[in-house]
Amino acid sequence: MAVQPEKTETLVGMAILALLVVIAAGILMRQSRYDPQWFTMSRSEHEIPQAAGELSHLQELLPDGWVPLTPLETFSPENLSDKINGKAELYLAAGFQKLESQRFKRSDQDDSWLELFVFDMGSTRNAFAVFSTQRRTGSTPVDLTRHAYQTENALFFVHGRDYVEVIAAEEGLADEMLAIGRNFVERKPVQSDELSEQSLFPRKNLNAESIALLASDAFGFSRLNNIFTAKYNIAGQEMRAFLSVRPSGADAQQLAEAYHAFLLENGGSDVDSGTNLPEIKLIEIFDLYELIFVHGRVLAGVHEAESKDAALELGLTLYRELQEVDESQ
Amino acid sequence: MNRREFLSRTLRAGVLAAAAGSLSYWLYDGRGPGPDSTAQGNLVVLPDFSVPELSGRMSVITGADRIRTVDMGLKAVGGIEAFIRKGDGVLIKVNAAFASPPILGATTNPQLVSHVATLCRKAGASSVVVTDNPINDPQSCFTLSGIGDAARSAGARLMLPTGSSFAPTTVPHGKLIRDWPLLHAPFQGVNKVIGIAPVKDHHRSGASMIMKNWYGLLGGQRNIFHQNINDIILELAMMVKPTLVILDGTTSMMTNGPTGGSLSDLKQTRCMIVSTDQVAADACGASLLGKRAADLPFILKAQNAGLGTADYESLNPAREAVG
Repeated sequence: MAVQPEKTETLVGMAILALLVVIAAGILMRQSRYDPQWFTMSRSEHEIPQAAGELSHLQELLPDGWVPLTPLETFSPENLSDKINGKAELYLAAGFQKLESQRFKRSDQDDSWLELFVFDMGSTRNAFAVFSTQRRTGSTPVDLTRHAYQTENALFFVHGRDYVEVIAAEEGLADEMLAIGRNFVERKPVQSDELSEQSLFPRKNLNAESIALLASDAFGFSRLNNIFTAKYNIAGQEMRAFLSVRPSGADAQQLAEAYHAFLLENGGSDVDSGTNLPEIKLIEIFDLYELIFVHGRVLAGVHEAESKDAALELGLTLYRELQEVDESQ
Repeated sequence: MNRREFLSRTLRAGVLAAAAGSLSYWLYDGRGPGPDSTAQGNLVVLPDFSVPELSGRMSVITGADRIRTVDMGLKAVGGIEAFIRKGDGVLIKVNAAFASPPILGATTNPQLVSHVATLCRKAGASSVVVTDNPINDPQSCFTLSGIGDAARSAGARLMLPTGSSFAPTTVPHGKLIRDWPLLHAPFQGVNKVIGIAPVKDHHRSGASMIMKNWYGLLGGQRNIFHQNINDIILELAMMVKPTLVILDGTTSMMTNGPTGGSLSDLKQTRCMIVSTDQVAADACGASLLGKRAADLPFILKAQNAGLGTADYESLNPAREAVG
């Protein structure tokens, strides 16, 4: 037998339905006037408001005789591309969190200026990734932090979780840039910025300045992330060794197999390594050689060696190095 | 509740659900939001600025002095007078994307802008507009890049984007640029368009040259297009059919583009490319970066769309060396 609703229930029900109709009408009205530009932060919104004469904390790093040219700007992952356009992807893939930047000039010279960029990358590892993948060849190492160099017009370094760039509009400002760098480092004490993987590369034939961390898409393979690489020169041939410490041995093995399959799918073919180490895979692809192996949790290998012998020489050296590290622990 | 009542209520609920679903489907806009749906009847489309009888012209001039190489390059394709006639309204689209000093090569060289603007005026142009919608703050970009002063000194009108500078556009047959804000105000009274861009490495697309430089004509939240970089460059080339393009490879940004930052990112490649074919110009510019056209998908896509040729040698470009 049906139960008739009470009058109060009916009224409440009607009120809810009326409210829903009003909400739906509101949504329809708003949607009909939707403009994505309204949902794009304006420049003034993503900049930290800075009152005239107010000191930014970056300004405190300046040597004497330098003053702000423009206000402090702050960018988040959502609007980093408003500052560095297409290069934003590089930072975002490496874990970028925040950028603060500001331009400064000599107080008596308007056209003598530089810009300071402080990228908060969330960790030393992430900061090293963007530092190392952009490292300029032929640059001069600087005794500022473990990872620091300068070029004719710029200074680049990693300090803790920050990747810092000081870029001048002219040559000849090396001292001023270094002064800013030193002030930055002194005012912000950090833990050691040593990355353990760096010490796993064999020293022989190594170009120590070439060690880089590829945060993602290493060697064109989308699953190959967090890969350290280092350049070697063996008998006049340049090639790269690579290694990556994975969460588990099984993960390393799985990734090695996936990378191996990727190479074969893209025109590579297996080559007999001639070693008695079955875990070593040697692949010839486009007249170059790739070598892959797994040692414990470490996926390692050689990338783009010009000859089989060179690939094997570097690959076996790396293999033995990892064995020695294991035995010493 | 008896069985009859249960079935009746179930039926009513089903009808309500179907009605709600149908209403949602009817209201669903699969194309996504446009910049201003109320302005769909006011879409603007850029006209074709090319000069048909001058198509397929190209010169590749070697030298370190931009003024001399661009002069020679223009002369080799017929002279500026062949392109700019008395009374023309000229728009020069520069790359002023960053508030970056000229020495870093991230923006169009100001001397080159000044010189080309002057040539246009001497050829009889009634007005010369220099414009871009930069990534960074427009005022800072045009000031610090030196382009603002360069344009003004040449008697050109500098047009910085403002909120009212944009109008929605849709690229015919385009999939990305649909009802999207276009920097349109500077095109008022313009019948000739010249693109001037530096040769740069680009982290996302591999290279930023002439076709990528039209990106600075878009407004809105355009960074979403970076996820589809080759297709957006293709559509930009579909959107703008220029009178002439000048690709400045005097100094090329070989690494860490598009911003660079260090002089060591640059290489003196000593080349000025002048062409009426923007695809050919980019294909030639790619070689300055040590790349082939085949390495840059947007070039092949543009060629396949009939916008020009990636085989720039087929245009028999005039080659000269100055200095």
